[in-house]
Amino acid sequence: MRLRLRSILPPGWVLFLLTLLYVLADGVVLAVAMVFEHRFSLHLYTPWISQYVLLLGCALLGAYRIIAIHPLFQADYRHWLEASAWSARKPLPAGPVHLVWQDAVVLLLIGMLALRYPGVNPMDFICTFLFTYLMSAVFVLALVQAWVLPYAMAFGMGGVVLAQRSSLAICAIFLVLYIIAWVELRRTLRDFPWNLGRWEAFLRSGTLKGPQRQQLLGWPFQLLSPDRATPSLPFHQALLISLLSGWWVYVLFLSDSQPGEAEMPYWAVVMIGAFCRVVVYCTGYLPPLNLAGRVFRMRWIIPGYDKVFLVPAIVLVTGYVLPRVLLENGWQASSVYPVCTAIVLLLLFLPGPTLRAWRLTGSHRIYPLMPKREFIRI
Amino acid sequence: MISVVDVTQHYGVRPVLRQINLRVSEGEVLALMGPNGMGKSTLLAVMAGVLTPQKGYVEINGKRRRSSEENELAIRKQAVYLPDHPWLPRNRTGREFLMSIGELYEVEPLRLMDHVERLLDLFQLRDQADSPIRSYSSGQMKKTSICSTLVTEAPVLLLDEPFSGGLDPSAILALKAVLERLAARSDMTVVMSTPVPELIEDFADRIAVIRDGQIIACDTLEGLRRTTSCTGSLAEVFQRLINPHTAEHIERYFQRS
Repeated sequence: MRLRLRSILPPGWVLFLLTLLYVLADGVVLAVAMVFEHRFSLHLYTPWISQYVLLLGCALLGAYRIIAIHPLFQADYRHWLEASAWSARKPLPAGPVHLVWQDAVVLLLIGMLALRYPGVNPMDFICTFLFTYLMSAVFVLALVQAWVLPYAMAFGMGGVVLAQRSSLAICAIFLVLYIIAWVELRRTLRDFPWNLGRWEAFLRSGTLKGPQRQQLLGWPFQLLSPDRATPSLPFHQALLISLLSGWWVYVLFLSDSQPGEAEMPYWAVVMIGAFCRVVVYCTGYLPPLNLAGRVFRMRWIIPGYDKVFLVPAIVLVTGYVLPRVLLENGWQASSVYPVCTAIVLLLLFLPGPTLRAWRLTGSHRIYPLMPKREFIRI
Repeated sequence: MISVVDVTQHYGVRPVLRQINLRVSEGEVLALMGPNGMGKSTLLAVMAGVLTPQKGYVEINGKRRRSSEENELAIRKQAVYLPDHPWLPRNRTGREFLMSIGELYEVEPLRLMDHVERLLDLFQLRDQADSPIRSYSSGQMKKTSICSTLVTEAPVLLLDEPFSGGLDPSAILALKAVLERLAARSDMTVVMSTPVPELIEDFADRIAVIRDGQIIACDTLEGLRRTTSCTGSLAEVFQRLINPHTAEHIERYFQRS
């Protein structure tokens, strides 16, 4: 058991430091209370600083369970595993990335320590541990392109906000998320070794310098490249992001104490979304004719270029009209704005031209916008 | 082959190109000449796909620019553009940069390494090849950008003022020699602009003279001599075409002083 505990716990010096901090936090408050006893009654003393030290310890422990133990973040360990006879059916040599009964023992100890604090629910400490554990797992899974947990987490955190002070409900949400994390971590371990692409160098050296440099080709090669990889959003991702945004508008709507201000998240999504689409499409891709040319040559509209403004315009109009129509038809405001958010974002993501088609075939003038910290103009 | 069909371009009110029609055959070297601000760079940019003209179109090897994603990518693979002011990655070494460009154009790795070494030797960049580009002089940067165009091994080169930008005499001679050798090949098509007639008169198959956004003459050197009734160098022929009164202006200037 000692060995197993060691494999899931941070190094001894970290534990020592945390323990010292915890004791000192209590000691300082106690000392202050004793020195100023004539002003403060000792019985009013509550070890309020140490409870935050305990929370910090829980958070660190949760993150450590993934960041320090998962092979993704340790290049040498990962490469050794690749070369060895290890398979996902066997336990990971450096310790398990999923939670084991030793974690329960640690959490139980923390829970018992938490009982010292009056009015504090020990479940809060366990939730803190689970939150950082799950967030670290999200990070790992996103890097290996496994998106189920990241999306589940994004949806689930909305549930956590809605559950507010119900620790039991929050724990239940975290439990469901943990089951998803467990399945996904096991699945991705079965897919080991992972093709990390441009993240490989980042995970090895802690810097993006290497892979970034490979993509730095300057002008004209960066913009007139024969295989320019243009970022694109697959349909299922567009759908999930739209639903997720709708869900968060719903969460913020319900958690907002002033219903009059609850439309704000919706309008923020509509305006920022339309603006971002224009920025993404038009940055570095200018109209072939400037404003004076349009006016004096009577070419008010350049169809081949101005088509990029069509979708943002439709989004703004739909964003304005749709909620009013639905409200007039008796829909509840709490469902109108989330539904409209999802629809508006789908409208923003799905209609063409795709970014790739626009950059390759649009009627624009390519204007190289190169950051001067990375490029030199001759 | 490059076809420029009825191309008209305005950035604003003033037309920069007016109904340009031009055909450059495969294996031909065409030099674009003309006074400053007359549309040479814009015409090259239109050919390179940097901008869509208001009217007309450009075809390269039978594919129309920006007509479809597939066509555009195929053209980009075949036609490489060297702008007059390229941007180079500050923190990459010259060798890294050239290797990346070659890889982008899918040059076979061993041939690419060999080609890079030969280019570094040709343009006397070997000593700086493993230093970051930010430490280069402007002439060395220009050489690097020329090398980046050549390393692609693309059959169509669109070069905007390749001789400018601080090239030293040996680099100018090297580039001239390279272009002469490319001109001798039947599979290389080169369109280049230059303000210096002496540099291109030895190897340009045809010279297109642009003034006020229009091609006022496009012929071989002999053809241009016949047109202008001038038996002198390309510089003299060019002067006759662009500004036949230059000699008078010079005389008048010095008479008054």
